[in-house]
Amino acid sequence: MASPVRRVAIIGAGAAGLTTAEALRDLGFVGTIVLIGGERHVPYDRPPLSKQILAGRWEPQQSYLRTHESYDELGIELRLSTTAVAIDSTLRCVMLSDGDSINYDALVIATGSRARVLADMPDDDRVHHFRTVDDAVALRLQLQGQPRTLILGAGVLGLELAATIRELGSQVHVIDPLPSPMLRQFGPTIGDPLVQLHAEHGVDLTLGVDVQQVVHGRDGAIQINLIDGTSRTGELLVVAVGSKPNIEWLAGSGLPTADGVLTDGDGRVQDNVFAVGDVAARFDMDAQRHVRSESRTAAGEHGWAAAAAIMNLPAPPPPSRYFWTDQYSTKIQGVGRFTSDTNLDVVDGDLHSGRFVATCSLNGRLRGVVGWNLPRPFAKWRAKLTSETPSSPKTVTTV
Amino acid sequence: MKVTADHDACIGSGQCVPLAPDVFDQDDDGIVILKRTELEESDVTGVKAAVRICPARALTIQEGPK
Repeated sequence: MASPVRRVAIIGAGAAGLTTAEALRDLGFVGTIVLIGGERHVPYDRPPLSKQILAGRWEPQQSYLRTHESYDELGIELRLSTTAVAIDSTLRCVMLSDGDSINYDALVIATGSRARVLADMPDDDRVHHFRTVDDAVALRLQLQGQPRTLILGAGVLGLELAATIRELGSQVHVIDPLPSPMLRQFGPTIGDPLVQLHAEHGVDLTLGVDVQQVVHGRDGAIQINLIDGTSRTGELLVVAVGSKPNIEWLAGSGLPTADGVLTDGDGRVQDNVFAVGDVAARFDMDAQRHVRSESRTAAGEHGWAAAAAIMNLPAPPPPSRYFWTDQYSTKIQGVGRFTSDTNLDVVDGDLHSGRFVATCSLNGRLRGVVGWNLPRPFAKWRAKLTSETPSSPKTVTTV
Repeated sequence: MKVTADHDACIGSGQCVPLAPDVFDQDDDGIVILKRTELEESDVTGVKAAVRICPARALTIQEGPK
């Protein structure tokens, strides 16, 4: 039996790290909690960055998840502008960027991910990546003159940015080598209505064409040359081509990493080490491999699960696999799994009417539900999906 | 112990419902409905989890008088 945990170090102060700290207190943990954050801001929420903050409706402080003072009240020792540079899991010690080191009985790795950077981009302060609240403010400033904006990547982030920037009055071109938008999240299921939605708002989408190079064109504009011989020109470029987990600091730690920190189905890396949020690659029983889930929902679920595990309490229900995106006034909700081999059935509304619910099934089994501006019917189908899904991998009988 | 919901912050994710189905429901827009605000002992763990797991952080627990 492990000795009691008196000191928890949480490395990374995003939603997942903070939720772990809060959940520990909710569950009655009375020991020390140290929360290490690399940015100068107190923990903040990321979903508003591409929407309320970029649009200028919110100031950065409105994305803060708690007030500065409330950390003292909760007994969380918050250290900002500090990163972890190495750990010694034998000595149970984390070395910090300010030269200090902290000991732990339990360690939670919550270092998140960063924007993936493409090679061979022009060296130009009008080329943006989008990850932090400071990134959002920097982009917002440059959008003031309504520059023609190029967005590389038609994933969730790329399309949310396209919607917000279009509503600010800029011309927007979105370019992605994949043939359908938000393919990673939904498979090809809702590609057509997404293309329709953005076309109706005047966004120019170029899908299924690879980029040859990004250069400075005439008048110093940024020019994207595509392999089909055409080009797109703008005064601003946002690269939104996915993320990379922040795991480099764990080199030499002996902890298992690949595309993320590898954990079991409950977020445990080793006896007293856990990983939560974007950086965690959890073992997925259904897919039979480790999978990172970069959703705001997963951040909270992982945090609660890690706190319960540290406290030796029963594991919460498995992650819901719920996510959402808001684009213009359209709310798209998804839950479950969407792969290219599933059948899509519209079960409510119409695919091109601006309101529908569709289900994905494989071999007659319900696998995923997507809702488009129909929250209540979506909720009913979601409940059906939950009731038909085994509640926990542990309850699956092996033969 | 009481639970309150910020209906303006709620984004209708429905994450709270399965965690405490006796306390939470959703209206036609997906926005949270509180079926009761004074919590029974059996509600507390599920509601605490819902407060933390809510991606809009729209739920709050208030400790009642001791």
